[in-house]
Amino acid sequence: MRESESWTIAYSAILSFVCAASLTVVSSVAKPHFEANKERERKGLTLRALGIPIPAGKTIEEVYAESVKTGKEEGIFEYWKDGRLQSVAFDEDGQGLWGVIVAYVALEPDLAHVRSIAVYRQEETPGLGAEIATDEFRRRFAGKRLVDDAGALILRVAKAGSAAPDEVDGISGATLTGEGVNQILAKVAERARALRRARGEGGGADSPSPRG
Amino acid sequence: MAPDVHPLLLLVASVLTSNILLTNFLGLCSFVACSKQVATAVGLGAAVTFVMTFTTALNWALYYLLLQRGALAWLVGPEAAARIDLEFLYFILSIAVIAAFVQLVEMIIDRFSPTLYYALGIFLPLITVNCAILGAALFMVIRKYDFVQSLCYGFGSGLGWWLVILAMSGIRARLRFANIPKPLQGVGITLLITGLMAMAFSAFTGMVKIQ
Amino acid sequence: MPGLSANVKTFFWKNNPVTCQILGLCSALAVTTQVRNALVMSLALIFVTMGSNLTVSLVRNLTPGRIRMIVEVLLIATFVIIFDQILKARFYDISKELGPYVGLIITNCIVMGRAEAFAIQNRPIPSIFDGFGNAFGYGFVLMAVATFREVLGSGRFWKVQILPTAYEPCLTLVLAPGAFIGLGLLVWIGKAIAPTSEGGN
Repeated sequence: MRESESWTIAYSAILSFVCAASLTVVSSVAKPHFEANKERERKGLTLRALGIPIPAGKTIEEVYAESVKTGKEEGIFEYWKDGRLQSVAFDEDGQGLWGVIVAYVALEPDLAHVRSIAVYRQEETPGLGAEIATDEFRRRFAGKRLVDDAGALILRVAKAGSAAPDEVDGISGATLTGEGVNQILAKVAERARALRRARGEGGGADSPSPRG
Repeated sequence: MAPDVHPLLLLVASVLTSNILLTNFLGLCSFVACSKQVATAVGLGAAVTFVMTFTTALNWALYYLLLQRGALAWLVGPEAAARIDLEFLYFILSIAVIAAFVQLVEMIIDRFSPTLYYALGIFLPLITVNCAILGAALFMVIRKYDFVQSLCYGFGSGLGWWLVILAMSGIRARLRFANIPKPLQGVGITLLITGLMAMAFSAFTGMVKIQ
Repeated sequence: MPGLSANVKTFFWKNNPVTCQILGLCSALAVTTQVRNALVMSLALIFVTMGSNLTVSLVRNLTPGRIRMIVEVLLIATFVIIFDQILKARFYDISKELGPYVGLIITNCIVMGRAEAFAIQNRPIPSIFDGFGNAFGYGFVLMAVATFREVLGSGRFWKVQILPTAYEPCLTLVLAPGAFIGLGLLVWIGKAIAPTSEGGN
């Protein structure tokens, strides 16, 4: 009886159903947590890119809610503290060697100097291109000037060991990954230029009025 | 959205710079077990390449036309489809696709060329549990390749796997005359040599440029 | 029927799934860059192997012979997905580091091998022990390789710097070649201590 055709079909159907049902149950229970985790990660990265400290005793969500305002356009995040704009972060992507690199680039309120970057998605080679996600690489950007007074891009990731003083040293063996980061910098410079025009500024900035 | 990599570039890269066996460690069990003879390696490698190419394509269709959130728009309309997310079934269904495809290939070969079926022997069922094939299907989804890229990626990964097992079989043929300590014979020395191969292949990094 | 401790002893050294049966190599190499990831993968394997061995054994008298391998894969996949979902929900950053390798447990020959070689023919309780023993032996190999790779390759253990900063980490060990070499060395040691009958190149 065990080997009969009808039992085989019936057994398969029952077992598939039981498995699918248990998985659906587990999945629907897990999904909200999963989504919350993804969101928390995104917020944490935004905070890190903007240079917002997370004091002990506060959660990422709380700090995010009180300090970060989203700009009028998508992908712009502003860090406000005590009524003054502290930094603006742009969410942009570039093409790396193996896949898309997505990063936040946070600028000072003058929209000319880089405060920090935070790479949050990349598929580069571990130990080589993937080093762009490390703190050490991030630190190379602090304080560098992104654009000149006319708004043209001057910052770039140079080939390792050959960076000029106003450039960022790349990772040896990961030149193409560096080019991907450069694409991101170019896009950010473009958006920064557009933002400054929208604010009606020429060069240098003071805190504009809050928005978002 | 799919990465902006030219499919042929992906193919070359999957063989040399991002070899699925040497950099992602997939397909090792059959690799270690079947790399003793060149003839075996040739046969298995060919079979793996064939299966990998087609199942990657099939699994692409499975994921992007059926399972992803919103994928079922062609069946039930976009609003209803946006609420249906069957991604968690991908593991099971992609294995089912692979197993079914291998079974189908087995039946077709048996029907049309019994000699080939006899020559391949045990290899066909062995392919189903080759983690490289499932791995390629998983990586394809993670990296969000489009259809042509997936096809090239599957084919390239198969070729890359074939290349490594072929090289290893050649090396192991020579090893028969080497004086290897008993505990190191077999698996041990194979792994050490694979490590050296991995180092050698990493020299290819940087050869591939994106236009 | 061998009990739990007997199972652990057997599959730890004498018949270790990785070094002796040559199973489950893929994940053994991929996730051993850090001890923490290796531990999570070991726990995953213990969970999945015990679960699948148990369920396969429970239904062994109902399963038609023709479809038994598919049934085994189905049950294994179910447990893997459950573990994956739990990981994503509660340990998100670990889940991202392990990536697709959790899903690849489905093709891990150890799980499938034990289901086919033992669970389908034996009663539930011994099957659970068998599953635990094998997965535990596998976990041991993973932790050993991971310790070797993480400590010598990055100076850290469980992400904590334990070697002095004067130590120049051997980066190759946390990259692909180091994995193969690390495991090869472990197999060498294992076979030198507890020789198996396999020989030849």
